[in-house]
Amino acid sequence: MHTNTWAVRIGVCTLFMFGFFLPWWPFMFLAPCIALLYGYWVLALFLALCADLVFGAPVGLLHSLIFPCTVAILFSSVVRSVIIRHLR
Amino acid sequence: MARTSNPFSSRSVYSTGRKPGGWFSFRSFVFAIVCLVLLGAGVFWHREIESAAWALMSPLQRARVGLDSSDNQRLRAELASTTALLADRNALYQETIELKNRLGRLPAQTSGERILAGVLMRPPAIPYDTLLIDAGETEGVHSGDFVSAGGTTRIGTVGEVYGHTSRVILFSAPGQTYDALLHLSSTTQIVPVSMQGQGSGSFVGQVPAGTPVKVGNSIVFPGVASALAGTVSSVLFDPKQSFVTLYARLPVDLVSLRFVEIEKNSYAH
Repeated sequence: MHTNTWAVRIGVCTLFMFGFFLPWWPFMFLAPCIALLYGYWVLALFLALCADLVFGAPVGLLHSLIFPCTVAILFSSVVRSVIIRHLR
Repeated sequence: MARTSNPFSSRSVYSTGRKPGGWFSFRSFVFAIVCLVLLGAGVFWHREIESAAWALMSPLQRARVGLDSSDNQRLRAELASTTALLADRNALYQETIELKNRLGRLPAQTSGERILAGVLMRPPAIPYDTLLIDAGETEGVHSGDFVSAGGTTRIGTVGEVYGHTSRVILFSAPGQTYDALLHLSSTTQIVPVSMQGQGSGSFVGQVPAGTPVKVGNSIVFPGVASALAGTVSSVLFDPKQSFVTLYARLPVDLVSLRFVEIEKNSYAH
């Protein structure tokens, strides 16, 4: 189980780096989503913040969010936490 | 009990044997602190953080771009540049004929000062139809300057400016709208059109039904020194509608674009 934990963490970071060097941005967005899915919200936030720094502020409607991926991951982690508390 | 990694098990993550705490647990406290720091960073220091991050990352990115310079890449870059020049030439030809017809109204002289910059990142490496280029505040780039792919082929404007890097927002970025002129096949006819960015280097616009628009027509910015913004790639006409929908593309291949020129002091807004 401990091995699985580190496999997920390393895998997610590898996916993020792969997205940066390939380069294909959806991988960089997918990595924090997978990290959040497995419950590693600090890692997910860190990767989302890195992705936002690389992507820059979005153009158009989402411009005012500045860090849209980070905001999305924050929102998702709160929703996940609330759902887990209510389903327990 | 060990923490499991099953993403679909809601109990497993919290099954540590401890009595679950309230909302004011240590984890919630850390979460709130992280939220506050991110909020502060987003509102007050986002430009400084991005600038510092790119100061660290741009040498790495330059090295990656430098390593990727095979013959194939070089030829593709030359082809993209030639395509842009050819499109530019066609637009200039039309403009020249029109101006000659009007007996000598010459375009105003512009300062013509340009900064050459290499493209560090482009779609699909980054979303939102933006480019990251290796010239910034130190090189004299200002936010709002027009960016061209060579000649009068304008492709976007400078958005964020960092120390030695800048971010270029392409005209085709989603949500961007520009007033432009559509040059029809007959050299003297132009139609004003409002083009809206769709992403991936494409625009959409509408002109009144009956307008003889064809694939390959040029779209230019208003002004005596007209700058090419795109070429019509598809025309859709529904007899029930009173407008013709036209799709246009940027005159350059973004994947092969290696260099851009920044027109100094040509503020777009």
